[in-house]
Amino acid sequence: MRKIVTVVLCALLSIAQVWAQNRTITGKVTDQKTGQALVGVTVSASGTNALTDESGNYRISVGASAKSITFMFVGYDRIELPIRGNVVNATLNPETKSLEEVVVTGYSRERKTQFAGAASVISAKAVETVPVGSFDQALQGRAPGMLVNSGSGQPGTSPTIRIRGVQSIQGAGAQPLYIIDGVPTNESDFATFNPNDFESLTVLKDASAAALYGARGGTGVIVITTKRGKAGATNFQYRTQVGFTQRPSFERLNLMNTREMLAYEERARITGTPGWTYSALNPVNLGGISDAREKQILDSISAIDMNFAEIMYRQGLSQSHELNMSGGNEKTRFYLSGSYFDQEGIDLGSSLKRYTTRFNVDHTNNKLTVGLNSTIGYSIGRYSEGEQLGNSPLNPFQMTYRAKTYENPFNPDGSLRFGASTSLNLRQVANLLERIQNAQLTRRQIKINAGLNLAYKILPSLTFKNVFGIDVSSDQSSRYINPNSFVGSLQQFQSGLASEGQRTISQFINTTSLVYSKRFASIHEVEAGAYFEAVRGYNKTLGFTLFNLDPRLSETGQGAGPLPVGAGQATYPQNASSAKSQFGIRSFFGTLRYTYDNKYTLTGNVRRDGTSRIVSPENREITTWSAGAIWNALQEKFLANQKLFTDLKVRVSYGIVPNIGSIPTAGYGNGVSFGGITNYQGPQQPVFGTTTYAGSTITGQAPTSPGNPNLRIETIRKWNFGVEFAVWQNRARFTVDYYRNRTVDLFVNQPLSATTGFGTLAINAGVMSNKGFEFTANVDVIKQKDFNLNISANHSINNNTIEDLGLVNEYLLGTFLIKKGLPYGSHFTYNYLGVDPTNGRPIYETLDGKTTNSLAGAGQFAKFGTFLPKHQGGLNLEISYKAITISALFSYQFDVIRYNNIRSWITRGIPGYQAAVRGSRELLTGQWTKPGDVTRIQASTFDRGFTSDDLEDAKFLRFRNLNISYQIPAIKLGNGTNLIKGARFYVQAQNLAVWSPWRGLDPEDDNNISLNEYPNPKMFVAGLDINF
Amino acid sequence: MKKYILSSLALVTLAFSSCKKEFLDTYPTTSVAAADALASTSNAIAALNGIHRIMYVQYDAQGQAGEGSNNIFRDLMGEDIVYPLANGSTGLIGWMRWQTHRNVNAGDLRYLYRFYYRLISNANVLINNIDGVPGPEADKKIVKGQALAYRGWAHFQLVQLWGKRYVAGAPNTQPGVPLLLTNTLEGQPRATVEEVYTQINKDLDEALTLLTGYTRAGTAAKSNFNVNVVHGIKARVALTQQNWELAATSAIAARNGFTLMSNAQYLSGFNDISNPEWIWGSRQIDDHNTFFYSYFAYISANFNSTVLRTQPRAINANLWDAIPATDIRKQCWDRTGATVPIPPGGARVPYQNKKFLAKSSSLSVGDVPYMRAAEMFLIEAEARARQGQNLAAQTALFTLMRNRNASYTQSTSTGQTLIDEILFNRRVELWGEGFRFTDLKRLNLPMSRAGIPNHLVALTQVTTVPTGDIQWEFLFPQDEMNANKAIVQNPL
Repeated sequence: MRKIVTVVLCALLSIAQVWAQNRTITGKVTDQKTGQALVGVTVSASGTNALTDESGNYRISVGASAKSITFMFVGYDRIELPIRGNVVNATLNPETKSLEEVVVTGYSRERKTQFAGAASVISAKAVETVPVGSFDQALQGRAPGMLVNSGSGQPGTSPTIRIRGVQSIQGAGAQPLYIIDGVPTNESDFATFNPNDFESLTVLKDASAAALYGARGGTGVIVITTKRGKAGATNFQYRTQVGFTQRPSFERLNLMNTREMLAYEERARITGTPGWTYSALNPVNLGGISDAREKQILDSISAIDMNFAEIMYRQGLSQSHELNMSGGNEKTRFYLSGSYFDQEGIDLGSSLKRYTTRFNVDHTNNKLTVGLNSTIGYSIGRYSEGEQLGNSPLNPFQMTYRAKTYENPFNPDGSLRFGASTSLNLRQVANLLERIQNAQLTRRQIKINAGLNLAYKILPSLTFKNVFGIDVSSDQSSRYINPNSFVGSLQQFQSGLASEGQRTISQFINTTSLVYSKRFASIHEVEAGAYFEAVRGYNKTLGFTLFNLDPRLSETGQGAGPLPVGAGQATYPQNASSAKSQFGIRSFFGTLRYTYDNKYTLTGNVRRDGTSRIVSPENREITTWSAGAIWNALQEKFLANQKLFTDLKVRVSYGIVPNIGSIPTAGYGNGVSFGGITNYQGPQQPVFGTTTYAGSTITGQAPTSPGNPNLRIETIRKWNFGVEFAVWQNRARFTVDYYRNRTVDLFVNQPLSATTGFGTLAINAGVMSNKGFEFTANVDVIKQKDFNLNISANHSINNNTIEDLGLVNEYLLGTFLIKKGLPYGSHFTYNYLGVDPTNGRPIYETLDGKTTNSLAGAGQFAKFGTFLPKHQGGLNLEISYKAITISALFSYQFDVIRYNNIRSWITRGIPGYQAAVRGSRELLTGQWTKPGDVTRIQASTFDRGFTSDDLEDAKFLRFRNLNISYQIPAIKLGNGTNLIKGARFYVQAQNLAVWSPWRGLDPEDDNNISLNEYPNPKMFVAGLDINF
Repeated sequence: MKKYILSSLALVTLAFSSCKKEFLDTYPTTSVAAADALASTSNAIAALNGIHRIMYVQYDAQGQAGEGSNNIFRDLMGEDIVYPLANGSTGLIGWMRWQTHRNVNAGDLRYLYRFYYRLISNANVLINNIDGVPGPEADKKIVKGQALAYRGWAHFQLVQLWGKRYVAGAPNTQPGVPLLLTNTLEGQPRATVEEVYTQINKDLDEALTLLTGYTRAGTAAKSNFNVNVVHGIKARVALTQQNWELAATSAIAARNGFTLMSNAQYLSGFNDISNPEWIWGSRQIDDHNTFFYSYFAYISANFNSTVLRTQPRAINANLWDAIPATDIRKQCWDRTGATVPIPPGGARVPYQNKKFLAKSSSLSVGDVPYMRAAEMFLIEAEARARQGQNLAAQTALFTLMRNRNASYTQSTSTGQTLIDEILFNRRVELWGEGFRFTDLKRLNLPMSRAGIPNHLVALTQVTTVPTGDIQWEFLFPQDEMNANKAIVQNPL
């Protein structure tokens, strides 16, 4: 084979020689660090290419006018050397800052000097080895303008990511588009990806690159590339981690202990509670029990003081193992990996197990390059079933602070004391624990993400390329409640429950392109591309729920027969449901880039999408475009003599990007969690919903929505201005970006006249803006051979404003007020002013600025702020001394206000709450009891309600990650061969500490309110990576 | 070889990316798009069944369960339903205090207004599209006839509440309610009361023509409109328009084929559509449980809700005292409350209601009565009496009363005395079925609770409302005023 290549090469060379008076240059290319010869390096000069052979030698014929030779090799910095004589040897530096020099847009790789957009490149180091089930959990604080907030500590749960603010009311939750090696995927499947396979993550924030993706890029794009093999020696790596997850501290809640609670119950005379029922002060003598007996009961209750945090949480173990292998030669390169990840959550029932493999291969044969990137994963997520129940005494995350500590859930023999619970004989925690033991919620996912790339160089300047991608997830979810249990006996038909669902979400993409790239007269560089793309999505879900399980057959729905019915009652069929949905997008797009003399670059792209997600034929063809310019200032002659800057680039971009996430969709479920699929067009169609109607064999139908036949997509007009500069020999690098995003045709809920028969209709009438700054700084404070200190920081500011709502003045959306001039997510509630010291009544502000004691007379205001932080950022320190490296990441957010509903419950101070909810110690000292008391909490005879008092500053500074590693050098055997090429040992901690004025468990959340969330755990691991 | 690979890949690409139109046409699979909703008469019947269903589903808040709840609202505004306990539940008390219908932000008011227009909107879909639907002509007539009846009836209910009363012989150019004859998303202005009544009668007459020959079938047959129901509505409309002759003849036509119920049935709870006297009602099965929303959750004697436990419904003591002891209807209320099948923990009060019974204390389900033959006898009697046809009036009244009270002898009264006797029996017969407010308004009588001993002024707050007061007109909800610029509010 090699012979053939050589022959072909020689033939090509000889042909070339006929064309002009050429000379032949030879040389050797080596790795600067190791000195090893590099095989397969592309050597080019004056339009001719050659490759280095097995010894790193090359031979190239160049034109008489050629002045320099360029050397390019995957994984190494590209260099250009002047031709002096006939021998040019080169030493290549492994890519160090190469990630920062290249922006991967998913359709192309752009040099930073030619990229006019705003993109943040995150090295895979940020997600590699971080022990989180869904790698996006590790992105907080890593990129400016990207808000990453986790709403659940369940292993494998994806956080909510918002790039440059919320850009839509209707589509406020729309997540960025994720592209892995050119193939789109869903963030909900990240639990089944191995982030150690990733090479880089690029966040595309402005219009210039996101517009390439058309309407799907409206809320930003995160482009992920995976690791590829390098020509040269085959490298084996074994990576392993062991560690544990740990629950957060509940000290912040300052909860009462049993004695305090009993005293409080007595003081507030809370009917039904032991503290009051058995109190000597209580005139009612319960069931004729003597006072002495009551005291005895009270004494024995006082002695019980359970620590529910210890009972309901655990220290979860985690471990992972991975073997990967990479290598190849000049024609074929590969990267293979297989991994196993296992993490127990801090909740008793939750865990994530994941198995993945990856196979990436690239093969080059002259003009043809073929590559396959593929991963197959299988994960088993066991979910905290209680978390799914939300506001319930069966939710452990609620009961941790809610349950009364005088409930001993255990019998003397250690078994659970479950059964019917009363306020004097509490069995809530026992019932909860019994449910955890007997109820399961599991998602088993098979995930495939694969892309076949094919590139053919028709001409040196013209490349045909095709990418065909498949992304499929198959979720088998099941919820099972054991019929042989107390909780099973509480289900409908008193004998357990088995729900099973199957969902398949698949997407196929095919992108065909022709790209022309040429340099003219050595100063004009042009690249133009024409693309055709088709995306097709198919979703299918089905599921059933069985009751009345056969208790003899464990963990199966087998034996669940027809349901028994009473005489004269309607029959209850066993439940089953199914649904399917699909969408298609057909797109044409073109890109153009022109660079003059490496100084000025102009870029532009335009894309036309036709999407089935919009019903109206007039509006379903959507155009996206963007234009940008970048000035590489240091190439200017007049700046050639300045010494301050070593890099200075100024860039601007503008584009119009529609946001498919704004289009209202509905969903279909299958009766089990994780069974939902999207109903893409539902809300646009005039729809008849089915209603059961007993009077006819034909089920009833009633119009449920008038539909919106004129619906257009929301469009975001995005401006971005950026400056990048470096000083101190590139040791201090900075970027500043200013952006202005203006969403037009914003969907607004416009109320309809009731005479239409419908309530409201979302119409394109509003305008919303997001304006902000982003800063990054990266400074090599110390840069010595053995001692390095790098500090990198980013900060971003986002100002969201609803600019216009068309004909609508304002409307309520959940607990928010949507109103012109306010930011999205503005809390709308009563203003609590405190307690009247004379009578203990709550005081509120009225709409006309006066005060009142009654909630009914109080006004509601929107002046308390929003749950979306205005400021956020991250700070990363990295110190290395010889073989030891310490890196620490801090993230922070401020100017953010959230509801602390937990605090509302534990400091409500009225019998209705404190009869069933363990209180905060604040009730003991901070509640009004007699005239003259100046307190925050009103007398227990009045309810202050849910008001501004429950809004809290949720700013925080979090010690997100600490990693200490030791690089172990190569270990050689006696005969000089390597036992190992090297290894790295590290210890790592995630979510180490958080500083915040927030008086709840965790100020960080993905929504406006905290009540029943699975708290984010702390994680500690030790790891070892060995290279063979 | 490479060429083959390339060209075959290109083919795959083309096939996959083919630009066929269907590529972009993917419709949802469960909801029924409007086009499909009326693709056949069978589908149209489904849409009609949908309207039957929305007569009694639960809406935004408890106490809002369709027409049954609306009947409660209207009766609470009269004198005859009493909240007997000062510290009991004050659920729906805004209606009793004449506040809810005058509070533009009241949820009940908004619901009530939307409810009728939702029916009209649903009916219009059928009325305006059914002619083009493939299917048997006979089915189309049934669907269209019923939809027209719904539209006429719903406009009638609206105009009685929001418009000033109809005065026979006057031009009746006072503003009524928006008249919706097509499906539109634009808010419509108010038509005059005369225009609304003209359209109501037109719809009802057309419905009569279309429904002639239609026989209702099935257990829920009486949820459907047939000629009897439409005649009955015509009788009500004519009575309101003081068109006595038409009222009488329509009432006779409406009860044609229906017999009065037995005395035993009279005490069985007014919750069974198979009762021979019921002409029109909603059939509600257990699966359609409307929980704490339903009619029976707010009017029955036995359902276990806080509202009914702590504030049992009672009858105007004066009205009850005036019922002869031999009248079976007297037993629908208990002077002491001792025999009432109260829910666990429920209160017992004087003059306590036991006319209405939910299926059980834990199941608020029950069929909801909208039209009974008894009402038709009363309409006939009243209309004849007003025409001066005393004998015809006495006879009609006698037919009903002989059934209710075996000792009843035919009335010999005439003139106003006869009319008063008829109206007294109308109040007794139709207690809780939603007629009192509209009766007072059509008759231009004041509402007066003065002298009714068991009404608690602390609860009712309002004792009298004189005739001609602006409070007889409901206000348009603020949401409607905001969204529909064409609406003019009633005097505030």
